Amino acid sequence: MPELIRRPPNDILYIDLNSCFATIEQQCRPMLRGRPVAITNRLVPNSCIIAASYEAKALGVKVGMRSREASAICPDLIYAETEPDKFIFVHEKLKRIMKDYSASVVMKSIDEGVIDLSEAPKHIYERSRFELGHEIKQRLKDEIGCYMRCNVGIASNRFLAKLAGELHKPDGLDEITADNQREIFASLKLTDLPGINIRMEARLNAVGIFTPIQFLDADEMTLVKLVCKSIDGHKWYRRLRGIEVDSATSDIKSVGRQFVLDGRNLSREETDARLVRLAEDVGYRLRSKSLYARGIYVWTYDFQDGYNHHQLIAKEAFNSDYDIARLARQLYTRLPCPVRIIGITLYKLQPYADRQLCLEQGRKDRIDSVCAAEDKINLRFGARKIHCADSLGTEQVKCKIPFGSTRYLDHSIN
Amino acid sequence: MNQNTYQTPLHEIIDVDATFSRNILGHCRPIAFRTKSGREVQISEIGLIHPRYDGLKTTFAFDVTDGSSDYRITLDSESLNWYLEFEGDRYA
Repeated sequence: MPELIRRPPNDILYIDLNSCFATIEQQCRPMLRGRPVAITNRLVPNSCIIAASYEAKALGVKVGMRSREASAICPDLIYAETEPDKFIFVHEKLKRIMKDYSASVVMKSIDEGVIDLSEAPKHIYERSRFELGHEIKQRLKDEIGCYMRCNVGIASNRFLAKLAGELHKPDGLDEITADNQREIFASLKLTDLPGINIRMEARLNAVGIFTPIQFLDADEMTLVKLVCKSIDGHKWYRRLRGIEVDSATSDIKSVGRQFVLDGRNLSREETDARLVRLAEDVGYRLRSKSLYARGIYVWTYDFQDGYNHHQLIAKEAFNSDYDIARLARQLYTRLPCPVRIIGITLYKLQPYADRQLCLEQGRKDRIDSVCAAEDKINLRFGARKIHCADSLGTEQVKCKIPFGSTRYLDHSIN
Repeated sequence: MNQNTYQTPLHEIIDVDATFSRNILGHCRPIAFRTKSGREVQISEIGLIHPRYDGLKTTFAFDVTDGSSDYRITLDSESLNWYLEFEGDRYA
């Protein structure tokens, strides 16, 4: 007998800033409003567009396009480089506004977050969800700037609330309830649903599911045994019925940083300096969370898009810049040169050093002390006031916008 | 590629007229500024006010416009000097 699923009340508000980085740029610079604007991480002819204003999108410019390609479609496109400071400021403001409504607020990325009203004070919980949505939109304009817009989605779980938020972009406010869900699903394609990509769509098609309505009507065992072949089938069955299955938070599993090299003809020594710089950045992130790593992974892409990597597990956990840079260089010497992109990932993280006493103990303690002193000086006097001499001349390795995780926004010193 | 002049830092010290009042968008609001060459810019709109941190030092960045061009002016909270950091292209 199928389990009886009771749909919870519509307590989830999903807030998503529209074309976030481009809109913030237009908020800052009124002369860019109403014009096609593209945001890139670097102002070079072949850079990747990471955000486009609605005016640019209307002309065919898409996120992920190369700037050369975008300029061919839209010669008047105005490019602006990312400025993490102001994006982080807007993120913090948005988070502060959201926290005025509930104790349970989770930022899903730099420009979107979830308010769970089940933990809201009574006087807020009793208010209409639409009224709260309108109020948040207005506060965004009042407290950040008049050009700021956001989508608000209301539903009983994160999945449906995100979908509701995507129904009418920009500046939408929609609610998905048990009553209107079928009507809304009837107007959508499978890939319009958050989390359904073309591969998942193909798996659904293989069992005769071609529309969101058919997906909603599929029985649980079909999803478990034929589509997902895992517990994910149970999750999809509940997710589609408004039950929350996406509220779990995970611990940090890895810390990484990558850099697209600033030239085709960099020597191994120049690339090495940039690698040391990346080691300093990941080291600072690791220490900011009071973590140690045991695994290190160095990877590269060459100019033919060939992927190479080496990794090692150290005998002892480490978190000093010295150790990370030493191990990273050791791995990098085994990789072919020249490279286009280089990255370091630290894994097997743990909250303690777990070291055995050894004959070199005094030297190791000194390295840790130097590293701690370096962090203190940089926190007091500013980013990279003191750093390893091997990373001199790497000013081009700037802090960029962290997509996805917002874990390190509070610790951005680079 | 339309690389606008907003990307070339000027860091020119300027005189600024500003008001200080209780306001949700920030207590300090610049009204006009004058450059060393004597050019006076009347601010018609403030786009965004955001802080920038360099260690414990805070600099406040004001993105403003006079209606024909965008500017970024900054207030150094240690020296209390105002700077013109960027001037945008003029768009018809």
